[in-house]
Amino acid sequence: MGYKKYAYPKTVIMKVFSEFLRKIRSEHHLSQEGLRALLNEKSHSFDSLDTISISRWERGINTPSLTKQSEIAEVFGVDLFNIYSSDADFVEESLYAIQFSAGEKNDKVTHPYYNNEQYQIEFIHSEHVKFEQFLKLCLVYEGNPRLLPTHQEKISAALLTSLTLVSALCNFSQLVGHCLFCKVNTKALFEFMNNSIGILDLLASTQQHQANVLVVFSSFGVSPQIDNHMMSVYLNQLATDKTIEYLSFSTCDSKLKQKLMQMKIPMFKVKPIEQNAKIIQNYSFIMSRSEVMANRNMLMLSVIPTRDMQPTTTGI
Amino acid sequence: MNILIVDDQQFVREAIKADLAENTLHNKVKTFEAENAQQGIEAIVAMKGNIDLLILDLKMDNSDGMEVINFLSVQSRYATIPLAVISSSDKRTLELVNSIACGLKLNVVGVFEKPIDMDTILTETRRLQSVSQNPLEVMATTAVSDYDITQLLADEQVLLCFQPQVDMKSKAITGFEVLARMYDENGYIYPDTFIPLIYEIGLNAQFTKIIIAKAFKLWIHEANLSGYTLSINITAQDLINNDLINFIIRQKQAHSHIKLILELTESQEIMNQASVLNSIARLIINGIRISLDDFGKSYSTYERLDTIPFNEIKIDRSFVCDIDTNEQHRLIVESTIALAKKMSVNVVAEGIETESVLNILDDLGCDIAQGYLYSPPMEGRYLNAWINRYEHREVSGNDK
Amino acid sequence: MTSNIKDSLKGFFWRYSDARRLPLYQALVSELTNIRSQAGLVENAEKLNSLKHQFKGICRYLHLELDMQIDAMTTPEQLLYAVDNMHKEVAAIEHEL
Repeated sequence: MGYKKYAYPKTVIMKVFSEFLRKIRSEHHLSQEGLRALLNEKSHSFDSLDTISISRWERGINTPSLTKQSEIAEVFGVDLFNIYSSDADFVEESLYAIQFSAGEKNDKVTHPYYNNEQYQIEFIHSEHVKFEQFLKLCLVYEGNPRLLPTHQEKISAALLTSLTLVSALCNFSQLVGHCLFCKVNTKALFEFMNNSIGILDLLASTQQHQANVLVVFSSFGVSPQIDNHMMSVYLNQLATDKTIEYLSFSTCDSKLKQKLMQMKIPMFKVKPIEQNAKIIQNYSFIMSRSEVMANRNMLMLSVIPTRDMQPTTTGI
Repeated sequence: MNILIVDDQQFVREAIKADLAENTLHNKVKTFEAENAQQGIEAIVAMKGNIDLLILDLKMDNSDGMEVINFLSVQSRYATIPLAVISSSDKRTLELVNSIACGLKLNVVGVFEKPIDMDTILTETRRLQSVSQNPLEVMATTAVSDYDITQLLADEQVLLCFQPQVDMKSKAITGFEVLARMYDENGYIYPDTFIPLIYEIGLNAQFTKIIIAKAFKLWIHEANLSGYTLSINITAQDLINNDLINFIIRQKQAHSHIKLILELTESQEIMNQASVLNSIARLIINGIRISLDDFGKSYSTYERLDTIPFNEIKIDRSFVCDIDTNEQHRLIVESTIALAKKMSVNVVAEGIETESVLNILDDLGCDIAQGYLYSPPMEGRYLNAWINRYEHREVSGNDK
Repeated sequence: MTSNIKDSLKGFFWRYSDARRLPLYQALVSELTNIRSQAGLVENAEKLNSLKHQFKGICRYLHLELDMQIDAMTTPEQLLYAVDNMHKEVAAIEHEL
């Protein structure tokens, strides 16, 4: 396959950043000392920075953490997403890590309905004939009572347009993954997280307030690859839409919660919801754009443009 | 999909197989059977653990399911086999077995009462699978204990985030609380992870020193910030370190215009030591204000009120965030504010996320508000932009 | 109680397709026969409890709520009686399957 399985993240990150640094320095006609002085002036994270370190970064011997890279990039008016998404090698390595690492770990097919067949990613818009059907399916999976409006409430079609539903289908009809998200304003989102307003009010709020947070309600794939792929869809949306300052999750799916915790994302709050005498936990997460970009796993997922992800075939 | 059924009763195995046939659309399920624990273990070994679901009866003639559970737990390569325990034993036994199996770190789908609902078990198994083979694990996620905190501290891989504090009445920004993050090549590391590690290796004073030094640099560098108070967390443990106290006092003396507030968190056992009280006295004499952090979280705070000349009380977010719906929390907050008023000290409420909570606090006479309603913690480099947007009412919280 | 058992038995078998019914039926009959023959040879309380547990498992599957009655049994004869009774009911519906 031509890929070095374990070498990938560090070496490619190092390569991308060293190229960026050399390019930016020559574009701004800065010496290594000039760059050191500029960074020193702009941020206290670089108080002890010396030209030896800069030289090592440029030669790819060493590289600063993504957190520091982020600060350096911002000094020059770009962010890590700009830098990493425009590097073909990094995008390819990210794709590779998502698509094949699961297969290497475990060759056997373990899902009763899914056999590593090809699957297709599709954005299901609210006018789509199957929108309602798919929405229902993913709400049933999610099991979050807060997402199911009571029967008395009339849902206007206009409200649903703000929801983005993405599905992964195999054999053109079998749903093997989905994600459901929406861009809203943080003020309304916190009201929603605290149960002060319901899902319909939250969706309605998008008409009055400028959206600044992307909130994910459900995200799932039957295989790890599809699961990651679904995550990459909204991370890419976040990365490309600069008006979005935060990423948030509001979910009752303990598997998604577990995955986020594995990715070192701190939980914001847990709220118990009582339904039919059963207690269901509602988990909320929120992180800023800079936290997302400094998180290696999330950065890797975010650089994958949705259209570039090719469906895999059996037997890879 | 390979399913191994371990049950001594042929009828039960037949029923499970019939249920499986009804519940799986495709003909992809292969079932294997064993009628006692020993046969079950032999089957697991013969199948090399290539089992997608192990349905295990707890109580069998001449043997029991615990033998299989113990076998799985000692053979780590089999511990990941999704395990569904079934039984007609009483609920308490089932709960016990569930906690044992989870404690043994087995991949437990669940413990189910007979007759089992195959559909539920299959759904649960599917959900478990989606994460258990998470490829992100391949991307070397770090276990908590794997952080080399000493090295990260030596490299000053510490980042300051800030959360604004706002005057309830005038809506003007009064100051910022420093919230520290550490970071490595995988991303941010949060206090609930690193603080216990720092205290475990006794580097707390060094850590606090780094925070204070970095915060002061920012406040000195950005002249327009100097009007705002700078609140930094400190523990009683820190207060017994004379070196640190001297450092803080020197910093304050060198930059007397910086309005430093130290937020003191609980640590009952050493709070009453003479050296701690001595340190507090020295800080106060040098114009550093003391705030009692996480107020209300324990009773000891009340006992401390008459020994420490503090300037401010901070009500813990766990009480504040739901005072609009939690009557008990509202009462605690109300009485805390009343107490602060009597003592003529400021009250800061943390954890304000919604306007309805803010309005109640305003009615109760709280002085200063802090919380996600205004802003989540933000990196120092974004402070000025936020202040600017807040003053132009482009961010939430300033709708006077 | 008799009609109760019959209904439960039918309810159980009708859930499955024709092809599944017969193997299930045969398994049930052989299971009951087995418990019956062992119940005649019970020599200690432990053995009795084990048979009671087996019988309970079967009843649960048939959606028969007999847990309390089975728990209350103290002699092999009581168990034998209940199993015999069940056996008769099972035999009685054979032609309907």
